Amino acid sequence: MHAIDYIITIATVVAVIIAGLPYRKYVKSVKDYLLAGRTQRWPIIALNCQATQSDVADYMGCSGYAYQHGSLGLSNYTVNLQAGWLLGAHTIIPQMYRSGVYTPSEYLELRFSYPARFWGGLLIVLQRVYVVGAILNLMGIMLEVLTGTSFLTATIIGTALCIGYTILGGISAAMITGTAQMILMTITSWILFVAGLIHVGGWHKLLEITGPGMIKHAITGEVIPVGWWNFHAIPSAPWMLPGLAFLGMFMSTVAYPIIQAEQVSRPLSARSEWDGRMGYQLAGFVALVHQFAIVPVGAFAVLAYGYMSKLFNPATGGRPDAVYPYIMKDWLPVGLLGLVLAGVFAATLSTVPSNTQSCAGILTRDIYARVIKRDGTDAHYLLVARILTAFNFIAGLFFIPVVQRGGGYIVMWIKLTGALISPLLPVFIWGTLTKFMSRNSGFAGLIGGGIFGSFIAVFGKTVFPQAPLLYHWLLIPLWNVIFTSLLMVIWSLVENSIRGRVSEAEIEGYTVGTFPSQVKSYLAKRVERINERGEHVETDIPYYGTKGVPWYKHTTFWGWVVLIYLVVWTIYWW
Amino acid sequence: MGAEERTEAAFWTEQTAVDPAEAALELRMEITSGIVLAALFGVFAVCTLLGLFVLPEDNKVFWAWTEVIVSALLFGIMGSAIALVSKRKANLREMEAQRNKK
Repeated sequence: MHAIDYIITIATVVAVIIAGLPYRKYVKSVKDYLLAGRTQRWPIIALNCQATQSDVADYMGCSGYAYQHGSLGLSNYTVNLQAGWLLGAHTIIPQMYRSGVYTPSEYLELRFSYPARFWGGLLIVLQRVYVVGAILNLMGIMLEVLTGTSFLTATIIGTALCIGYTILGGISAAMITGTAQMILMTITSWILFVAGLIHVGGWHKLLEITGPGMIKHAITGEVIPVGWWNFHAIPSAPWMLPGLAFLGMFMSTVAYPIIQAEQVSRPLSARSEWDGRMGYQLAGFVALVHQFAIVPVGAFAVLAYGYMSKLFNPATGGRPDAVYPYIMKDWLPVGLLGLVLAGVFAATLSTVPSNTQSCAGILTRDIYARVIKRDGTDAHYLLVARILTAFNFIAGLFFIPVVQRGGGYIVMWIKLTGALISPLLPVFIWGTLTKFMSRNSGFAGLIGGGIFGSFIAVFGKTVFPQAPLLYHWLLIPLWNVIFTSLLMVIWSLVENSIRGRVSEAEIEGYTVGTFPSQVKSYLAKRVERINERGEHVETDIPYYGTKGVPWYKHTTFWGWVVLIYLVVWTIYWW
Repeated sequence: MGAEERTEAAFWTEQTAVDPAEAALELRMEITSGIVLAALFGVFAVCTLLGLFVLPEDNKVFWAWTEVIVSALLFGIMGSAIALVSKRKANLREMEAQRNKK
């Protein structure tokens, strides 16, 4: 790397850390932060959802995934996440907004039971801590490839910066670091995309030379019969039934906007339920522009270095996630290279501390304060939260070897999700969509699904060697969602027949289309704003519900628009 | 369990009423954000321009134009952030003048 690139990177790190300081005077407590939040309009929600979702893992992880398994990774940003945001906007978001609940695990307790909240909270923490480890690992790889320093030194530098950022209070500047990284990464990923297209002779040429039968495995010499640009089949497992790979990937990603506390908190910070839902369901279009250019980098790497070359092949000790920095190093000139690295630092510094802190919040609030010490002072809980933040950092570091041995960030993410996390999706969705699900069916689904998924992931190959469709890592999330849904139905049938169904009054506000009693008085009230001249102005948007909203602004109308787009896009790529 | 959460919900419901002090705080935070963003992108733009002095030998013209366009884009973002800051400062002055009148 040239001195100019180092200047950009160091300037960014210093600026991002300093950027946190001015915010300290505005945010004196978590409560202040939350209260100041419920003022956002829908475009800001849409942008924030994508800024929160996106981090360095999406760049390196997805290009590495595309390198190994084709453009199925593209479906994450063009279909799966969008579908998750759309589903969330019409199921859990309105119910959480109306009932004043602001973490998904709290919702689990109110709709189901405390054990569901306890276990659900632990699962959410597990997934987030994995992401922390993965991001530190990816930053280590990025620094190692670009600067030539050792992976260990690079990881230590990254971790030290994250800790320094957290201690200095930079977390409150996440809005700035998030915006800066989103702009930088969008610009640079599109530059890399255009440079790559010029390199290979255009988009059509890229499709052609990475089409079926055009690529050979770098080590075995086997011709790959499946192209890189289909959603229904993948180059690494061309034997898989068409469409199943897509559905497996879909199930592993669609849950993210529904179960993750940080993501869900964005629409809950809206000035009205309408704003939150509109922003949430339109966030996918921001994701499309932001991340479309990343996945083709995997195909560029296939052409530049060969498919599954030793450098990137996990079977030979290679790291598929290193594809992005290698292409950057080899294809980007001085200045632009520094900008990308600056974006990576901004992303890491805003993502890692916010992840560790939000996990500490879940562990303190949902578990420690409920099970271990119920009558602690605020100062005591704050101390516990700080200790748990440090613990989450350390736990994240332990995940680094797991990511490296698991076949890359996204592959390991899908494995972890399939084994343990995917039961959360049916629990949230069936919990909001139907009043039929019994109180204990949520906890039963989480535990039963976790046992089923873990068993298939660990012992599937040994117990059912003739059924690769059952134990292939990409499909476990799909089977687990189906299994958990069935288990919840059976459990509810039994529990309802013994104890009777949960009364409507008890879960009013927690299932789709219902309003809790304290919100009913607000249904006729319209959002009021203070305009730039300091005058109070009433809008046509209600605080809660969508009553009286004109059709062209209605969330249902825009929901259909997004759904039609998703169907057309999927058919096109099929 | 339920009562505790209902109280919390009621608290949230009440706070949706717009408070002028909160609106002013929001404006001040936007001003701070704008200043930080402008400074950050100014540094990025200058550094990208410096990259023009060390262009790679192959595709020199393409990379020169890319660096120029990217730095213009970054300067543009800096300019937008500065414009936002001055607009919000004017809004804040106007809002505070209105509040003082009342």
